[in-house]
Amino acid sequence: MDLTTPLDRLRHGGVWNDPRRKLRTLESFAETEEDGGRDLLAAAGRVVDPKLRDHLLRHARDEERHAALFRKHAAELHARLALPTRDALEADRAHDLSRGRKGHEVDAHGFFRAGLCDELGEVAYVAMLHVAEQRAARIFRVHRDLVRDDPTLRATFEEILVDEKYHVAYTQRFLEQWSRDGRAHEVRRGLSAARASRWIGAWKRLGVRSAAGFAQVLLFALYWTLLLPFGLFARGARRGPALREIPPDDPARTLSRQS
Amino acid sequence: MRILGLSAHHRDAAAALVVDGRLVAAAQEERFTRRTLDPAFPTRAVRWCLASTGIASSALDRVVFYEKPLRKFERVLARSLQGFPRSARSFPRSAFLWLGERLWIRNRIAEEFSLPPERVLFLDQARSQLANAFFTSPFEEAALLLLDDVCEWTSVALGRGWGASVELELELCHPHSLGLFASAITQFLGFAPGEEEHKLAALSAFGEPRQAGILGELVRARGAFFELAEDAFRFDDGASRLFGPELEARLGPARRSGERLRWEAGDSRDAELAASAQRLIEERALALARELHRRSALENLCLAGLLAQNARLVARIAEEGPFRRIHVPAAPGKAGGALGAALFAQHVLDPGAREAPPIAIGEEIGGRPEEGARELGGAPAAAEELALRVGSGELVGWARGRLEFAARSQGRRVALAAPRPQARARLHAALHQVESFLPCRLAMPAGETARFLDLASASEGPAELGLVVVRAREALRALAPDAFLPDGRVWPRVVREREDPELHGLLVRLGQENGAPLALLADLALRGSPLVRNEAEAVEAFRRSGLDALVVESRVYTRA
Repeated sequence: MDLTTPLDRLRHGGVWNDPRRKLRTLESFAETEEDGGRDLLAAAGRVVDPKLRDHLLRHARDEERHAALFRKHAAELHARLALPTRDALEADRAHDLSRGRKGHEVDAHGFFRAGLCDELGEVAYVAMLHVAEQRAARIFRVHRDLVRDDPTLRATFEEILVDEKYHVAYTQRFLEQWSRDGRAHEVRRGLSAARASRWIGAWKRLGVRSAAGFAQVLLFALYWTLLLPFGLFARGARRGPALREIPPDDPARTLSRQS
Repeated sequence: MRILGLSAHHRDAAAALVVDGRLVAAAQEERFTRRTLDPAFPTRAVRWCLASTGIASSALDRVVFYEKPLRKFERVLARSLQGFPRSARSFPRSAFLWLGERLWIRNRIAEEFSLPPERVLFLDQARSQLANAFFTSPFEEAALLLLDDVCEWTSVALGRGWGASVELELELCHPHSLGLFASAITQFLGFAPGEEEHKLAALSAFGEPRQAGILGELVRARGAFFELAEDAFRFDDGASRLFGPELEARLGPARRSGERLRWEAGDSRDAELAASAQRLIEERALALARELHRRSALENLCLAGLLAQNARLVARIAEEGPFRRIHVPAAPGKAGGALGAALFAQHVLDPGAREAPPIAIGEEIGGRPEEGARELGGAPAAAEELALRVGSGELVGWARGRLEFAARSQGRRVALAAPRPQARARLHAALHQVESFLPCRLAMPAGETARFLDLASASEGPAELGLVVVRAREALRALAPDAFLPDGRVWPRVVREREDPELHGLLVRLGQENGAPLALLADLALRGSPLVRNEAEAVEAFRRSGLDALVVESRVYTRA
């Protein structure tokens, strides 16, 4: 029995009721799709099989289009809500889109010269795509069902799901073809690695989130214990002057290693 | 020497790369992530800067971060304690962020760019922003005025720049901040604070400042300076509302986003409040400018910070202030801090001749033709096409050359319209703007300003960057009725031929054909989105917009 869909439904259930979370989710979908599109373009430039290249190019265009659709919804929502710029606490995304690549690997547009295809190899890359697209399709189905009261967004998910079906199908065909061509071991290994990396990634994310939650609980406790006397003192204390003369400083000291 | 300046973690993160004293690349992170004023660490902007110049990150001599994180953390902690117990909810969130990451920014930068940590330097935000204002100015010596929301502690700074030096003399500290006051009123009016302060300024043109007295009690003058009534505001880190119940008790309930905006005759409460806040900001800023002039006895002023983007405020300082010439940088806020930090470091570490950096220093439009493109066969044909379409009343997007490092496009990513009746409303509607009170810039050649504008000498510099509103002559009313604000001003973008020959040429040509060398100008960006960066984004925005055509370099896109 597959428990992931009910779990996903539980996990994502609240997203669409809170406008702020809805906006961030749409923005994050747009970013993920756009990044995926770039990697697919990079991969298309590297694969030898012209048929696979055509599929990857079409897939890349799909991802770009999906990003534009999500961004359009996000922009409309943003305009309606007049939400402030993301505050400092939201500034850095949990998943850095650089994915750990260093600066010298970028191409003229600032993106990755070495696509994921280079890192993984052709078979493992397509296996990764296949697993990722299966998961994306499942998640988008959950979201489509959750946005029943927003017909335009629902229509967007429907449109994307049609593409996802194609993405899963063409990657499946290539994997089957390679298996028939004597590369079954490579395909199995690629699929296992892709599935394992998903679980490892999820485990890491869970670890990071739990640690963050635990740390904040600790800080909250700290606030009401250790900081309480200081807080009471600070409330009653006289403030320093708001207006300050600044003595001339040595520019080399002003510009310092001291943060 | 290769110096990378960075700004992040507040609003509008950016990166700027200076090589041997010359700015070679600069970019705002929002242009890559497509999130307006994105404050995230500018990974993509940095990567673009390095890739476009072929410099490996490990070859950087210095990376300069535009603020001193420890000083800022000191403020966050002190304000949390002073706000006890109200800060109980915000403290764990902000302390977690600071202890978990912000304080270790040096390590993150060093790790991200494969650099030894000692190559990472820090400069305080006030100096970074003022260095941006001064080193991009044409002045050898100038008084410096920072009017920001908040830096580490500083909200207002008075200083002096000369040669290769930027020195601060006086600072006013958080929470006494005109910028935060503007943000609080912006939020009170149902707009996004830290992002839509320009709407407060625009709305103010439509109201009488009837509540200036009430607001004056909340922002009390103290000689040339001022003091905020702290109880009326909530400026602590993590606070979701910047104003307290006292403000609502005095002014009535805050407007919720989506509610009807009251700005037209009969019920103009919101416009009156905006006008009152604007009047107060102008008066307090004017007093600061006079004090700065008294202390410095200088003729030139460089203005920086959030409020330097307030075109009405710049106009008031230019017209009634004591300075003869004013410079406002194209990116006067936090993004400009990245450039200021890099230029400051350059002048300290490797002093040399000063050179005003170019504004169009971002990504080339480049790209491959998108579906539906029609090649025009070169720049002259594109100019012809553009002039014909704009002249005939079409709304046309125009994207060319390098992206500007600026709060608004100066001409390289713009939408244009001939200034006919209703053109402003049509242009806004085409770009999905819903606030009909928002003005449009009016582009005109530098040679025509005497004919159309009553331009104070101090406004000349800001007018070239479209950063000031100016009284218009009556001759203009017949030619561009829709560009006029209720107080008889327009928002000009004065174009010099040597600085932008293509836009200048277009305006001259429009003048020859229509008798009016004028065009309404708006950013080529849909509401809520940053400026388009490349051809694909321009075409995407065009398809979603109501524009009639889009010209990208020598290609044109039209509606099917």
